[in-house]
Amino acid sequence: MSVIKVEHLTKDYGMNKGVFDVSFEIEKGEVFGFLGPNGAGKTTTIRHILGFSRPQDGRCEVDGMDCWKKPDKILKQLGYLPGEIAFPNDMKGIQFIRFMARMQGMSGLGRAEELIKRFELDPSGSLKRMSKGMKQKIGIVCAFMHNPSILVLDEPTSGLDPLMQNVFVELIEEEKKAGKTILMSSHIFEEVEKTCDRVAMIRQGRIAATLQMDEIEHNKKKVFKLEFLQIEDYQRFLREQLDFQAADEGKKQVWVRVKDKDINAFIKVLANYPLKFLSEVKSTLEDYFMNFYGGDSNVQ
Amino acid sequence: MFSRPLFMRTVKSNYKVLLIITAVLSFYLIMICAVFTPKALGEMMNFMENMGEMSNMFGSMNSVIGFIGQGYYGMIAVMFPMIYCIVVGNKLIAAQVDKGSMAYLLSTPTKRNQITITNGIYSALSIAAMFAFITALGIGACSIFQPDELDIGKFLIFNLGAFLLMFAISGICYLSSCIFNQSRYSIAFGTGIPLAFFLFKMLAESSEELSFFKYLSLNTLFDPNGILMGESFALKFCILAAVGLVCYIIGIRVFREKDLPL
Repeated sequence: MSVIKVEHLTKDYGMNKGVFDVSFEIEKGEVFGFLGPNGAGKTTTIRHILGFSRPQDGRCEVDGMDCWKKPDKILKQLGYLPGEIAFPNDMKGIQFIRFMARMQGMSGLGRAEELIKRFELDPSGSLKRMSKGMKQKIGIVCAFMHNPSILVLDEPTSGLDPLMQNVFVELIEEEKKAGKTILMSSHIFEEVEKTCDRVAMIRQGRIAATLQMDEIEHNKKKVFKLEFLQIEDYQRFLREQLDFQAADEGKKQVWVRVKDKDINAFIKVLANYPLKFLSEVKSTLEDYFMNFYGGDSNVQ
Repeated sequence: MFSRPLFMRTVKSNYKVLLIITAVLSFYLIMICAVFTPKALGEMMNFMENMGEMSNMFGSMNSVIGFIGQGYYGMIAVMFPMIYCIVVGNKLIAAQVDKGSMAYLLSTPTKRNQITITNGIYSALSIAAMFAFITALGIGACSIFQPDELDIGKFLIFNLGAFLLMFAISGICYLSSCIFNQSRYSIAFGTGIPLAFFLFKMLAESSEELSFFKYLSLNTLFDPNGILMGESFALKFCILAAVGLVCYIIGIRVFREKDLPL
């Protein structure tokens, strides 16, 4: 049974803003990435899952309960990290964490202390004076501390340094092992690539594609990048019967696509050429994404 | 329907304004009780009589309760609590939606009704506490400065009336806070309407020709002068209570049904 279900969700804010006929389902124990540029409708969709907005058309469900009608029931087992962190100004970090724990109906602080240690957070200062990264950590602590079975995370790593991003990825992997269902939005490909089982891409309020991550990893064709030492070799190589993707004469580099079953023949051909290096170009979400954006690289 | 931790939180973030406004009100009340003794008032009256017809305007000021009624409940005890209602009304709901911190409250298993009802209760209770304190202080101060001069019955009615007027005003501010998602609109309506009422009452009292303005103002429903002269006030007080209650209830319903840009 799917835990989070979005069916034909439509919300038109005018001027082509909003979400239009968005549908996806997230199974129990699945980590689902929600990928798209700023303003594509990721947060709007999440807003509906949290029950902040009433759908114009369609519906959202969590555990079979309607998100607009029963948000309080749903939120007992859901942890939410907002995309834009807005804390009350007049509190210290630790006071806010305690307050949120009480609002969750927790008797103690649950996992908060463990998470604070993990993210090397000092919550004793005033929220007003905290940096973006520190606020993000407080938000993460609040989303995870009551050990919810469902997590909705809106751009969770924004503001975190690379070290902390790794800590976060580890945390997600642990939660995944523990059978949690996770929805994670992002505009950063790598972040989603590392952790998600499945990815939906949203563009201008519409789902452009939903991809299984293994589909991307176990692609039967691979792209290799080669650089030659001599320009003569470079020119000679281009006359081989291969599936060339691109070539750069100045750098003496060639991109070749090779089917897995042809790999040995490819190596035999290569044996005739002195190479500077050979590397596999991983097909990333970015490649898939670029297809939908028609090569517009201005998506980050 | 009531959230204890949220109530504590709301008290914490609003008690300073409450204390400041109550302190200002207390200061004026003590001043009036201490300075305007019947003797001083008598001297003032003599002076006024020499001024001719102006003395009519101060007609009811020849007793302590008269002076408190006119000078305090006619102006100060309305103006300052009104500021409190405006500031706190906006903070209770709209400011938190505008800033986005409401998202945190609503990401816990808390119903929207729980948030609005809890904060509405705070709003009404804090105003009640303010006037309860002023009542006790007034009775205390007069028993020290001018023993047996204060008409306690009327003084209690004044406080009840001022509380009910403020309950109605706070209801308007609260409703505006529930309707609007942006502080600036919430403040515009939450300030504009009570301020208009306040000014309309002043206009109505300023001359006979403008007296029709009294029908455009809630503030005329609490009329210390009328009460001093023995006019009935029960119906007016009931209207004030009803206006307040209706505003709070509509506010709670509006907030439950609306889209939140969080």
